[in-house]
Amino acid sequence: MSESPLLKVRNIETFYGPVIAIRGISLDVHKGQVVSILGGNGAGKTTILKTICGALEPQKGTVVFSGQDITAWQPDKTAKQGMGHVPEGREVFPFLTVKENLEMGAYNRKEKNDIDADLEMVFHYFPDLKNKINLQAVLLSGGQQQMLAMGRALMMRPEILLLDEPSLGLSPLLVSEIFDIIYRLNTEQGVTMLLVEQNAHMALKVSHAGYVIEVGRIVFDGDRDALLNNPDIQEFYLGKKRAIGREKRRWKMRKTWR
Amino acid sequence: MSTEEIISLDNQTSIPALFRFRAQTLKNKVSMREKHFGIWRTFSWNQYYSNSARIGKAMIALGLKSGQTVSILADPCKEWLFFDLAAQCIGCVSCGIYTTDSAPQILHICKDSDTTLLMVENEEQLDKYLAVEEQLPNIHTVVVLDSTGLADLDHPKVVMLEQFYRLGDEDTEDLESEWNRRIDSSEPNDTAILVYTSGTTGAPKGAMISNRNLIFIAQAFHEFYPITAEDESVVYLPLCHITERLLSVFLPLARCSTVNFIEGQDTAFENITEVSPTYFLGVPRIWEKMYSSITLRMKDATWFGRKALQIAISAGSRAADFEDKGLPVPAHVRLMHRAADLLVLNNIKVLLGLDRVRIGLTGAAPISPDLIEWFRALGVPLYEAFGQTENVAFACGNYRGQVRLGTVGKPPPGVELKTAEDGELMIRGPLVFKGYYKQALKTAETIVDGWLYTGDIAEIDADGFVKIVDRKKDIIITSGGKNISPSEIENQLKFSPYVTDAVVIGDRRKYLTCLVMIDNETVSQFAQENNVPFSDFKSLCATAEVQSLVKSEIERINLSLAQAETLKKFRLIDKQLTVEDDELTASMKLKRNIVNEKYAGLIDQMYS
Amino acid sequence: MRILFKTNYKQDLNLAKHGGHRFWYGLLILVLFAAPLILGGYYIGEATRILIYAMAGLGLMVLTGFTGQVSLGHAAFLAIGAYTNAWFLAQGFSSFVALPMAALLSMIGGLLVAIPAARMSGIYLAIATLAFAIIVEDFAGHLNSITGGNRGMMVDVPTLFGYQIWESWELYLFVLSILVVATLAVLNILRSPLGRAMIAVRDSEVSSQALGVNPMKIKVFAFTVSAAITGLAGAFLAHYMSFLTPQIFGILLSIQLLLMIVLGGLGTVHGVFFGAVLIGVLETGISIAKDTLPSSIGGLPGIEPFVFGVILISVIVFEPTGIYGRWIKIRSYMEFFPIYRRKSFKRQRTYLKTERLR
Repeated sequence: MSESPLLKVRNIETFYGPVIAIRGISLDVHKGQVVSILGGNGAGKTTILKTICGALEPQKGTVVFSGQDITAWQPDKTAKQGMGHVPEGREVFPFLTVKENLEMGAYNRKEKNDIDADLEMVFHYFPDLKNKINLQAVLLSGGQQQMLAMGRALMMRPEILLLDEPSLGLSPLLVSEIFDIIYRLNTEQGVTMLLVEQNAHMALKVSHAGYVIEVGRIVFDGDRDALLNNPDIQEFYLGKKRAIGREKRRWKMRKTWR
Repeated sequence: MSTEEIISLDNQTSIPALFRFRAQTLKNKVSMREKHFGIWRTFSWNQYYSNSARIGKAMIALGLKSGQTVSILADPCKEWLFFDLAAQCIGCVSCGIYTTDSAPQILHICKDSDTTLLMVENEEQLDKYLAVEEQLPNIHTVVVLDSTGLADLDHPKVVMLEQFYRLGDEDTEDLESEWNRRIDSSEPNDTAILVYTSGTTGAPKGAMISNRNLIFIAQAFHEFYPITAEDESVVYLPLCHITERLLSVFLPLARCSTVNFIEGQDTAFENITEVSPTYFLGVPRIWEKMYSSITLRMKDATWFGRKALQIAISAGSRAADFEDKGLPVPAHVRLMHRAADLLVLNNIKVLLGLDRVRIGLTGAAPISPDLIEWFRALGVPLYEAFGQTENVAFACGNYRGQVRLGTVGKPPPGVELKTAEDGELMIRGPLVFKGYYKQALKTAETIVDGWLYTGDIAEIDADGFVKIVDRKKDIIITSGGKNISPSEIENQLKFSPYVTDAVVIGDRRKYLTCLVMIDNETVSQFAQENNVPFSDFKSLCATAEVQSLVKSEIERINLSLAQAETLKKFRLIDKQLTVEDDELTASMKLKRNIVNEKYAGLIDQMYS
Repeated sequence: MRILFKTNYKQDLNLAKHGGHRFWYGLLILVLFAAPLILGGYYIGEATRILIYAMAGLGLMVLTGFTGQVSLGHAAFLAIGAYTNAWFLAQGFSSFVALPMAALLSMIGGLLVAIPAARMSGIYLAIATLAFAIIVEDFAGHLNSITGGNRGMMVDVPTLFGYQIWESWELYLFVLSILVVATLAVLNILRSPLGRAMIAVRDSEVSSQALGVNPMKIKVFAFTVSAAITGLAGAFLAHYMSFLTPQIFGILLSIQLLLMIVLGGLGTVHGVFFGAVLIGVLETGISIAKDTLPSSIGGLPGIEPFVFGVILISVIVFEPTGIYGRWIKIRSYMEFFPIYRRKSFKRQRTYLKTERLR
């Protein structure tokens, strides 16, 4: 990618009170890419995403989106700029129907004429939702709520979609389905995505590039092939065991990330 | 100072006898503490002795004879001491092995030392033994401390600790009397412990250290650094290293002080803060880490806080100046210092765990004089000392009233020093070890006529202060025939907070270059402050700003070097090395030879 | 800065965790008890008022701060306590009987409110407590025979074992002693499983139920204890004012109590005292200022509530965690000086989840 990245994050540091959650994070997302942020629990992945969209305020660093410095902008402003955020845990509006939830996604759109067409597009990708169009969102299952949240974000016609742990709490089959949809959205609709995931296997299947976070720092970054072929990632995130034999077992291995 | 002179402590001439004597007199005084499930639990001298006795008797029951070797492969914990003393009491030789050693390294040590009984900490260490056990037929018993993960292990030679204890509990008078008999028959010149020198060159050799050596050193140490029964220390460095062994096993035995074990490597600094020891030894890296943790934190502190610290440190250094020269401190200077201490400095010391330190020691590698000054200004008396395994960790040191920065001090009473023609430091006295185990040739090379050849080039100044120049073997001769001491240059570089370690290259080359390992924390902070984007450590090293940062550090030290000594080029080692990598020793120093080999490509780049 | 060296699990349970605690709190208690030797009659009276506020606030804090149940009607318990105490004294009983009866009847009042109120939450709970307060105020106005109705009721001085407490400093010491006992009682409840259950119910009823805590029981307990303590405060308030009318116990008093504990620092025992001192000092300060200021300003109507309001709003805007919160920040600064991090207490943005179906 020779042109400037769509999203440029530089040296951000975010605190929760006295605790530093992420430090020295810099990453790029180019238009049309799917980029993953991988890491275990508590590594700081969601913090990064929330800092980017404005739900958290960084103490240092900058976030530049489409050439515009949006550091520490309130989330509603970043949304208006074209940043679609699908939060961790779905956060659908429980008492609104599926249709109303989706329409809320189009809240900031200036031209209201294409809304129906977009609704159709969403239902095309998430057929399960079409049957439940008038059902209150709280009555949907976890997987359907995830789809609803994503569809709602898509209704914004976002420049970039920030997905926070889409696989959280879903059955393996559903996870497969969701990632399938993510892949199609990217290849067919050209949606740029920044994806935060614990499920490294699934995430790497659909990503062009990835960053691995540990204890608030980036420990590895590269394109998809570099990630898939790296033995450390294979062992620690993809579950591949090393050469068997008691002598070869890596005890107390400090991940050294070469 | 003939070798026939009797050296004793409280009328005891051997460690086992001293140990028994201590237990009899100190009884319920606290000897050690270990943190277990969040609270610090105490163990008295009686418990120390009785547990060691149980282990010793178990060893006797298993047929261990005098003169055999017991090896210990564990992180610091109370059982380490029990096994150590138990082995010595029954006349055996105690040998410690680094827990970071690999199976082949452990094989070498156990084989070379003729180990018959091995103590391992847990499954991880046991695995290493099992990997090479066919090649160690002499080991008839392996004792495991932590049986986690080994519930269904059924191995004829492996015994769990609880089982092992029971062997020694068998109620026979024979065992008890045999135990006491062996203690009684311990001689000053018996080999008490074997310490394998970690060595940056060649295979490790086992240094034999006798009872006499140990008792002498404990006394000599006390001359410079008085330790009393009320003192507390923290055991955090590997006990197989002679310095930690001296400070945490033999010194407390000699002076009746208390030791506190850290919970684990990860919580070391936290535990030090909790215990707040009264004397503390650290390699320069530890002191540097403490210093940089404070400077990093101060970057985020309030303006007033930073200013206050600045003023406080200058008040402290003025007071320290007087003390170093042995002169009385003028009243107003002392008052300023006390005020600074109360208002500002004490909190910093409490945070680092150094608020009670009366004696701070640094050794094993040169330390920046500025760093020592900073700590002295803080109110932590930090003294640089020198010792090797072959002279039982302590040959000379700076001490209160006799400090010259940049030197390693003077020898204690009973120790003679001189330099050979080529500058090699030679030492004579009761602190010189017995020799290398089964290595008569090497021993003959090292000890000639009672004089120990240290392998370090040194200068002794007019007042008797010793300055270490370099390891003899490391001296570089350039293609132009110039003799360069790489350590001197490397140490200059290491004084920078951004550099962890460096290796100067130039043997038979036209000019000098170096490989630099940077400190992740401080350099990341630098990058953050200057808004330099980076992702992982490798990319951090690759950024232009970090490259120029290192370049400016190198240029800075080049200013103080002769033309032929300046570093013309450098490269960064862009992976974070750990002790498990071949490139580092157990004390986190870069191994010159390995680095030269592994990075031959990078090096050639610099000379092409 | 203090690093605690833990050698015993009991150390975590102690009220005074280290020498510093023991020293400073000991000193505080000493100074408080010795105050009558230093301060004159007027100031002792003001101090007594602050102590009574503190006792009332302590009761409210147990309910609102630690169990999370909003109460807009705590003046009711003050009323019950005050009138009960006054009535029993009028009948000739000593304070030894009157005070416990005040607490007991308040407690019964608390029980009566608790049973319906414990089922409610949020706005509905607030309204229920408010309703209770209005009812009690009304009762006080109508029960002429007992309370003297709107004409009011004289209050006798406290009597202990035949000794009549006339002096203001005697009253001060009496209130102080009971307050110290009540505070220790509350602190002990808080470090017991019961106290932890109360806080659990405040933080998440669902989770606490999952662990075997019965939220209903806890809330009822909290209500009764809260009412008892506030009732005692009311009894002392009666002595302080010497003359009771129902108007004293209006909604304004309830709101003032609530304000007091919020501004002091919700959820902490320290907050009660900080809040009581703030309100007490403000009231005194404003009336002193009114006298010293030129009459053009001092004579303005509504100046008191105005200044009151301005100060209260400032506290809320600049220090939402209350005065105790600010004190913690100051104390941290001094504790960690010079390493105190500039933005240790910088609050991160929070976007709260909307209330979901329970």
